[in-house]
Amino acid sequence: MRREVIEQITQRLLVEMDLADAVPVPVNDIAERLGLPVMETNLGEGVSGVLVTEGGRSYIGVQKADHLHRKRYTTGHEIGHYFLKHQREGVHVDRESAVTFRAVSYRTTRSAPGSDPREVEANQFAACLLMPMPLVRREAKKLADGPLVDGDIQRLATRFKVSEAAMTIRLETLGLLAIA
Amino acid sequence: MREEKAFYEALGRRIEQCRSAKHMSQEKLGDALSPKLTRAAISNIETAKQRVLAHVLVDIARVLSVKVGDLIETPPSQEAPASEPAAFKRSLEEASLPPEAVAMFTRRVDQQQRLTAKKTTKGKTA
Repeated sequence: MRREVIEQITQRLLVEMDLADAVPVPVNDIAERLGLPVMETNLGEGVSGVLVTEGGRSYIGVQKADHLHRKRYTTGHEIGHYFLKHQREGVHVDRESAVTFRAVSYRTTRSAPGSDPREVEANQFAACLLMPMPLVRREAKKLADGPLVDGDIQRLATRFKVSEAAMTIRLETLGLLAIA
Repeated sequence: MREEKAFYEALGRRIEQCRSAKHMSQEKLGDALSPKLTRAAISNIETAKQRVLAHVLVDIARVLSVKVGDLIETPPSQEAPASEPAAFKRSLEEASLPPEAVAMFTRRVDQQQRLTAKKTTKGKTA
C-alpha cells in the first residue's frame, strides 16, 4: 500500500508544479521550488547525499563526484525524506508544534535499499518522482508493444536521466518487464 | 476560525488590562473615543463578542497611551528558532562531513538566516 501512496504523492506534486508531462523530470527545480536549496560538494567517502535542517529550513547536499544520474536520484531521495518526514500535505501549520528539531540525515551508498523504512520510502519517493508511472508507461509503449528488451531499458534510462539499475527496478515494479 | 476567536479574545483581554492599569472604567474609555462608544460596546470588545474595527483600535490605543502593537498578540514566528551557529557547525562536524561541506552548509544557512532577518525587520518597519 505504501508505494501506491507515495506514487500518488509524487504525482500530485508533479501536477501541482505543472510538470506532469516533463521528461526528464527537473528534480533540482522541484527541490528549489519546495524551498530546498541543492548544493553539490564533497560529502566524504561513501556518502551520496545529506539533508540538513536548521532554523526551520532544509538544505540538500549532493555528492559532487557522483554521476549525474546518481545525483538526480539522491536529490529525489532527499526530497523524499523532507516531504515524507514533515508531512507537508495540506496547508495547516500548527504553530505550537512548529518544527524545532535539527537533523542531519545521511544517505550512504551502502544503506541504499536497507531495512530502515524511512530509507525505503525515500527511495520509493525518488523512483516515483524521477520515473512517474504514467510517463514511464507511455514512453515504454512507444518503444515496444510487447515486453521490453535490454536496449529499451537503456533508452528509457537515458530518456529519464536515471541509471539503468534504477530504471530496471522501476520497470519491474510497474510490471513492465517480462519475467526472465 | 478558532484561531480568529482566540485572537479577539486575547485582544479584548489586553484592552481590559491596559484600561484597568489606567484605572479607567469601560464607560470612561468609551467616552474618550471619537466617535464615542457605549460602555456595552467596550464590554463586548473586551469579551470578544464584538470585533473591533482597525481605526477604532488605533483610537483605543491612543486613549490608553499604548501602541496598537501592544494590544495585538502576534503569532510566534513559524520559523523554528535557529540554534547557535557554533552548535550547528558542531552538529555538522559530528556527522563527520568533510570541512568543505561543513563550511558550505554553515555559509548557506547563515546567508539564509540573514535574509530572513532582513525580511522580518522590513515587515516590522513597513
